[in-house]
Amino acid sequence: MTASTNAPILSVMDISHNFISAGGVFKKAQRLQALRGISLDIKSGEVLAIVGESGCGKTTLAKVLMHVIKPSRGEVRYRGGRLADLSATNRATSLQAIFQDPYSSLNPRKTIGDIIGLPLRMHRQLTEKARKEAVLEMISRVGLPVGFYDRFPNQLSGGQRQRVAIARALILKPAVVICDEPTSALDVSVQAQILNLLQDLQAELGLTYILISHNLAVVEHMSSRVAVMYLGQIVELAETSKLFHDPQHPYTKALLASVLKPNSGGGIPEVPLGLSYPNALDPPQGCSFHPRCPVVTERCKLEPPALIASESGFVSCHNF
Amino acid sequence: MKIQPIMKVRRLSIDIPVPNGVLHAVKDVSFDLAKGQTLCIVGESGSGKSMLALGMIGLLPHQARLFAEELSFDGIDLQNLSRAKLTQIRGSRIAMIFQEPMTSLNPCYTIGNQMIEMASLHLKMRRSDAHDLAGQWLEKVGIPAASDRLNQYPHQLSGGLRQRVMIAMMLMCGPDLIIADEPTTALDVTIQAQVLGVLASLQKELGLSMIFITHDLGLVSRIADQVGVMYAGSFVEYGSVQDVLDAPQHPYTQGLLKCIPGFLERSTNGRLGTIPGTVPSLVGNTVGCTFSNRCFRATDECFVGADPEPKIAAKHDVRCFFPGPPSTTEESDV
Repeated sequence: MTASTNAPILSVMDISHNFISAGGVFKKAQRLQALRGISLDIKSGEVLAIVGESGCGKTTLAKVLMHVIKPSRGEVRYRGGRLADLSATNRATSLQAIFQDPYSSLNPRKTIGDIIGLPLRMHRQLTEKARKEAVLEMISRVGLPVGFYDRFPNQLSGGQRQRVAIARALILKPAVVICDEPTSALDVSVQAQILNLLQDLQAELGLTYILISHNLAVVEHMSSRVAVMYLGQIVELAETSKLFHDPQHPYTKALLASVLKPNSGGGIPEVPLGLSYPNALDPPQGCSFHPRCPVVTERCKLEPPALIASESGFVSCHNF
Repeated sequence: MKIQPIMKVRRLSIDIPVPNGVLHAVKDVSFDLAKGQTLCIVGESGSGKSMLALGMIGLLPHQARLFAEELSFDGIDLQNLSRAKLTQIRGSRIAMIFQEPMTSLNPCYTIGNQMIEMASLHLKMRRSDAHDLAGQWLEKVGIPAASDRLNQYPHQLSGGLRQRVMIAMMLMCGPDLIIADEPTTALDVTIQAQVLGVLASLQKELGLSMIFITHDLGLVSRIADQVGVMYAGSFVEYGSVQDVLDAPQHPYTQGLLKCIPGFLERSTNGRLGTIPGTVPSLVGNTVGCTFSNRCFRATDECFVGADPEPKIAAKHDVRCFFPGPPSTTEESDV
């Protein structure tokens, strides 16, 4: 990975976000706290991974970062200024995203050239001729033949489509790219190609990645720091090697224990976790992890733990 | 001592007519599955692994055609069985579990209703007995407050619980063989480990045989006794889990392992291995080895003539003209 400079490129400052479910004749409106007080600095040039189970708020956080959702509380700062104050064009040239499913994220009625060139047209950049040149250059940069310019998405395989999605995200030369499960819809051999491409592009263009994934092997391979989310909060943040070799939070430990690392005849590991993910509409009192925690104490049931600084990040646990 | 296999498959092929010819979805697959053992079938999308599973239990789409020298379950020839007999075996002696439990469970009926229907159909039980049995099985798969769950609908359960219900439902009729098609792919890692733990311990307790279809090689290494690696419809490598994953001989298996982050020692430049090229079309007759267009080792011989012959019932069958461990030049090439 490229060396990180110290100034954060993106700062998440005490973000909370609630979704209000619509009430009806028989039902009261309910409040779902998707994000509960998240603060995070993302350094320029790093790969920050966000991991956690389904429903922990990973994608909501990504949407807040992309300014698709306006958070209920808190703000995002980009290079020191409020992200919300930037113009749409400035935001688009700062932050871009790649999504999970390249089958639904590309318009089937547009050609590859149109799809990749759309951000340029939207933000009125370059002349038509220069646009086409930029698109062709980007097509070859992501490892596709330039002849794909006039093809349609249905003529492409899953891996090729994901390359198109990457080209579209990079055409405006953003500084930060949010990758939301970029390879989970792909086969392993194609996943390897896409991960290699993402690494190459990062080195060439000096990109900063925010990688959202539930595949911990991919996270360990790609990222420099990892934030572990549980029920709308970050419970542990650490450098990748620290987190994978010496996890501190009991949830991180359980998460890592569940990964089926290759071990012929090794059997299924015992996972020290209670049964079910808690109801996000009614989060537990005290530490939100306590109903599933193997080392729970009385204190955990009453008071929520504060963030305690650790060697390379922080941990939110009374027993740290 | 020779153990009588519970499932015996010899040269099974599945053809599907398509507008521009015949698609050879499965080609010449052979294996034996012994009682109490687990066979994992791994492969990428479109390699034919689900078709093979459906073919074994007679659930292929109606236009597909299956040919096999032998396809027998516990000595019963499944190919020439009447529909009624096959239906009887499916569900009671061979159980199936699919990827997404929400599409396998009927959303309009309670869990209890659906489990009781299974029991009364296959075990000819009275409803009240079936109700008790269903409750017992839900407890066995680790679902707390089992009797309350029986009155709940599928949408009221989480994904992990639903998949546990599916496991309870298929085990309650006392099958000898489970065919599981990516049963944990839709689940979170923590839930996946829990569900697999339940399945593995019950398998041991009841002495079940299992055919497990997946693309997750980490999972395969943990649960498999035998592994069949599928590529373009064939088992390109088949053998014990130690033989196939720890000392793979086929270049495809070797390439696949290199693609997975953390599977092999990290290469010096921190990049993952890749397999160049794409899977060939399975329509029409292929010439030469199906993997030849992507293979580092391919010579003229690989591109002409027939596919390498399978060594049927060999302990470690590698369908390659030049099997062996990866050479150093191949290592540095990726």
